[in-house]
Amino acid sequence: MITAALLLTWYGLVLIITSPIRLLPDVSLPAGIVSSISSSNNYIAAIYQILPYTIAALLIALGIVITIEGFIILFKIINWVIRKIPTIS
Amino acid sequence: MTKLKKNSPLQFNLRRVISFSRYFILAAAAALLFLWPTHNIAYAEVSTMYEQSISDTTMGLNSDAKIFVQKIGSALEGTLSEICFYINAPTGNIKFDISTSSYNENTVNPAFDPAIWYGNASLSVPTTGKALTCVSIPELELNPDFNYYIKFGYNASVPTIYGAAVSAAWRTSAEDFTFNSVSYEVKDIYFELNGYPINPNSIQITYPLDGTALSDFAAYGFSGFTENILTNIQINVGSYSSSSFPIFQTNYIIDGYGDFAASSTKVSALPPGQYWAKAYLETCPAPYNLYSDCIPSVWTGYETYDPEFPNGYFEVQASSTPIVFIILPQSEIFTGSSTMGYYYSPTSTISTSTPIQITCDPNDPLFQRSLCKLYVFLFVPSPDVLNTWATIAEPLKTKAPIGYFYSFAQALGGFNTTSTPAFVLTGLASLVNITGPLDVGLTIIIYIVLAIWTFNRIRHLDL
Repeated sequence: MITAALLLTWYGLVLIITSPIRLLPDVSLPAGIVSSISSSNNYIAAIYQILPYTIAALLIALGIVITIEGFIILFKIINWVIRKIPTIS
Repeated sequence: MTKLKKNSPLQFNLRRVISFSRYFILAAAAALLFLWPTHNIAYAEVSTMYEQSISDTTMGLNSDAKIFVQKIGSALEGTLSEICFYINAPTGNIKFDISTSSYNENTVNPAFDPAIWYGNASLSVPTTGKALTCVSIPELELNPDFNYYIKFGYNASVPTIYGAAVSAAWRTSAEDFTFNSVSYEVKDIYFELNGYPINPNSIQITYPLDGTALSDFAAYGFSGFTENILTNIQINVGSYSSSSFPIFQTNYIIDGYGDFAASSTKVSALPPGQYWAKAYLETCPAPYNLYSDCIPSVWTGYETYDPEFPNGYFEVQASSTPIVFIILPQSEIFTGSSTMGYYYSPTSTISTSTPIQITCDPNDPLFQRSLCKLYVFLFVPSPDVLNTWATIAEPLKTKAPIGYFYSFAQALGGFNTTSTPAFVLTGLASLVNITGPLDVGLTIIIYIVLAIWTFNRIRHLDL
């Protein structure tokens, strides 16, 4: 009963907080981005037939770089938002 | 007249009354805690809807037409406290038993003693009309790992008892069946097993609904299956009516339940009789949103009726992971000497999650059990509450700005090396002595560069 009440309360709060986002229209990636990813996929698949380890290493490196840069950007964004709060400099 | 002293015990003292009330409330709370087990408050999931399939149809026990056995199955959870029967009979009473014994469908040799009944209730069966009669039984904690069977019996003086297909549709004598000149009068007594919570999660066992009649064997099953999905399928094949088999004999195509690999074909010569097959899809790949993603195709045939499969033919092609549903019910109805009609009901039950199950051991001491039930009541949320969270994130995935990141991540997720190549370089197979070391060398270089870049990026981190 207690857990259920808490979960329902939090659920209501989340719904209220996210309601402005929910009212927005749906978005999708521009077709150019999707097709460019698909094209690069096809080229990579061709080279993969010759240099499988190299391609696999490239994809892993790409993933690591994107992950690190993503975390750095996210950290900066959060910091920027926090500094906008009047009592925090 | 003598005046009462200030601290006389007869003088009204509000502070004492409050003090006494406090102890009284505490005592009442303690008493309530001890009495808790006698009240139907604790929350435990009883299980989901169970639908009967033809293999679970009540069968005569030890050739006794007055005693019938119904397989309920496993995965039953919670506490059973009540059994309700839908019965239409002129007079008499009915006995019943719940058993976990290893009832053997192949030989009909149940371990439980027909003379011992878990419940032996004289139900108030109406002399006319039909009614639901419920009987409270001693609480029975259900173990989801056990198979449960229910056994019915009625007095020999009772000429006829008819079960009901559903509460609103009662079976009639016209639906009785005869085998070896023996008329089986009881057929599919419809009943409910009730527990905690009583409603709406009571277990209901219903008679299978007849669906669309299909004209050939190949159409038996559901379409939409793709053979890319790997599988573990359990197939149960048995006869239910023939001139050479007892009505309760069941045959399996292989030893009991068998695991079928993808696209495998199992061939077995079956003795004369009529056969039905049912498929339990034990495992199902994500996503679970479509039956067709998961339900296997099952084909059956028999030499007398299908020359295409002269040896009896059963083929299963399908698929894979957690137990999610059972295809129910698929039954074969014998309709004549040279044709077979395959009937199925399109209703299937899919459960994609396992509810929280915390049951209190009835053998625990009273106080411990009371605390357990109190804990369950206070802190274990119901599945409905948890399910409200299941879809809360879904709408956000398509909204800005989250939707852009999500879509981009999805697009990158399709980034792989197995797509159709943009071009094919031929003649390089003979150069493997060159490309091999080159491949390894480039890989080492990439990893070294990655390590250097990561080290420098972290060293010069400017946050």
